[in-house]
Amino acid sequence: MRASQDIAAGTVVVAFAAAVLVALSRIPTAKYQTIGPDLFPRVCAYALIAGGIALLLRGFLRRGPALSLPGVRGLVLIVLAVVAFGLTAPTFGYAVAGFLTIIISGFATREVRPLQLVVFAGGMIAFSIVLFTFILKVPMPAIAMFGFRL
Amino acid sequence: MLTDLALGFSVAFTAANLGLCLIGCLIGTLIGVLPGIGPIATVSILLPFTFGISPVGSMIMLAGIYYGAQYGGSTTAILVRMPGEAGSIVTMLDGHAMARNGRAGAALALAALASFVAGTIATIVIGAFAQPLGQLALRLGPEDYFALILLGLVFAIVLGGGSILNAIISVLLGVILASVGTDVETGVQRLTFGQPSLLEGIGIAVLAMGFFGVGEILRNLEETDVKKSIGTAIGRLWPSNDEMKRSAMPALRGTAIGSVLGILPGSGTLLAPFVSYVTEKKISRTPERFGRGAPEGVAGPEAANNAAAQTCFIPLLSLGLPPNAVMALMLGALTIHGVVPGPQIFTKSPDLFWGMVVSMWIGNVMLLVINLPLIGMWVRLLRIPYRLLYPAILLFCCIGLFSVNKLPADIYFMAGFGIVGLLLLKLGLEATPLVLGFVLGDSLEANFRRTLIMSDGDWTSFVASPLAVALLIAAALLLTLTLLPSASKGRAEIFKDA
Repeated sequence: MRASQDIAAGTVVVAFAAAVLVALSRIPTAKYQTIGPDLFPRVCAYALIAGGIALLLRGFLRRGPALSLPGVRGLVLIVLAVVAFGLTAPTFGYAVAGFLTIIISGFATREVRPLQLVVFAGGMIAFSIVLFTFILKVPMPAIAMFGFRL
Repeated sequence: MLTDLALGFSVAFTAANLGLCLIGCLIGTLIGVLPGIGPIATVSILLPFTFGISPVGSMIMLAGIYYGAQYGGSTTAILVRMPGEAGSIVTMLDGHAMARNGRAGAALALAALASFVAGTIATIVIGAFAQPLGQLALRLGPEDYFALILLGLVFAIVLGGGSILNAIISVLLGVILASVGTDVETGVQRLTFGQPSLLEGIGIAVLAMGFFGVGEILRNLEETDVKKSIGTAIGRLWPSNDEMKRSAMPALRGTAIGSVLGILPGSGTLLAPFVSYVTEKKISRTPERFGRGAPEGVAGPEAANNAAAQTCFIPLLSLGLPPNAVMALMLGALTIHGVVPGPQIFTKSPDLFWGMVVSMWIGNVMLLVINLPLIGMWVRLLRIPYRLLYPAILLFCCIGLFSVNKLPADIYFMAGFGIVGLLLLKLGLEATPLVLGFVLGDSLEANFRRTLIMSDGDWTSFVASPLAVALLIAAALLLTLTLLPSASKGRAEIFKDA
């Protein structure tokens, strides 16, 4: 193994293209239709397989950068912050959800200063309510909790 | 053209449109100055909020954000040696060197003045060339369009940094992602995997916010913190006579380079500053001054960058082909307003076209004021630490996307694309060519199929028109030339320079 990044990328690309081809083969095509909806993505998937093989070859033949793995803390907390927004925004309003998003995502970096983060989150949420609900009049609830609605 | 310009002035000088232009320029400068958020994420966040405004007004504002960001990006590049915007990477070299020599104010002023000159000239270029190009476009067949888009993609592949093979793969991934959803011609579902939210395809806003909003944050958190301080005093905000004299011609050459490269599909705003810098260094009698604070190295690239940011509206407006992700978002905004960009825009909505052209010039005047006397305000913004900046960016991505359909699924897809963006980066695959492939994928496929259908499945019809043949040969030549050892060495040197 001389360039693990290329080898990993080649494998992923070929696997993805193969999955696309499988999914495309399930599309029902009319009998006399040569230019079906699957033709163009199919051509691209074949090209992608060729590209993936080229990456694999390059990875085995030439020296190149090694594969590095993403840091867990940032990835998990950022995704969690976004998912928390998606889960809470429809019921509790975007301001409540947004507060959670800022707090959770704020901890994604080691430099977090909890008190500063909470104050900042409060300020950002107040600003968002003024901007989106009062100025832009976006029709979506800001806060919907304990019978209170804004 | 004079009556057209008069129409444009009458549209752009209404209080509402002047206000929107100013808001756009202010937001643009803000996100340009702040590293970590760029025009793609910003325009996708703001897109839903423009639906209530008139089509002209929303275009004026979104355009202001785009070219305003190019101005703001240079401020960060000069003062902090970080590109506030990808297009201002080149400005870092001599701009920051000037700042270290105590000429920060002069560098900022030169950047703003060169951008202003370029913006003014580029506005005239748009006014003069967009309409003839549109008329020419009416005569093009689907095979010509197909070849043209292909050439554009090849340009983007060749001109981006990094490996050509990786860039090709990124573009292909983008094109395949664009084909997800219900097929327009047959109504068949493609690659939706039974997901109802994929029936209408992947939204460009979801994809763009995923890659350039969430993905960018994930990528920045990966890097061990880069603490850069703005220790340099700005100093006198006016260049010396010598600096002005040295900068005049580079700014004009940069404008010409940027105007041409902006029109080509691909990443003109990224490429133009590189080409301008290399050109100035090549023709300079004292190339050794470059990198040590040569004003030519600031004025030329800044002019090129700003000119390209404006002329890239030409393919969008006159051909209906978005040359980059921001233009694709603008295309989406226009379509929602019921305006179809393309050759017919000049007859159907001349007020929109000319209003926008004139507003660009007004916007450039505003930006000069926003950036020079108010520079202190923007510098203070740079003191916001990233640990507070990224949660705020994430918040606006969530709220912006949620306001469109009120569907949590959109938000989850955004997070998903953020992860994909990070993983692709780890695999050495860049997001920028992928998004360009995504943006151009729809029209590439539509013209591919139209060509085949009109000729009853005859594959030779792709080379039936002389123009298509010429464009395809150009694309093939470009790819082959770059793969030649001597050329790829030169290419590596250009990118090493920056």
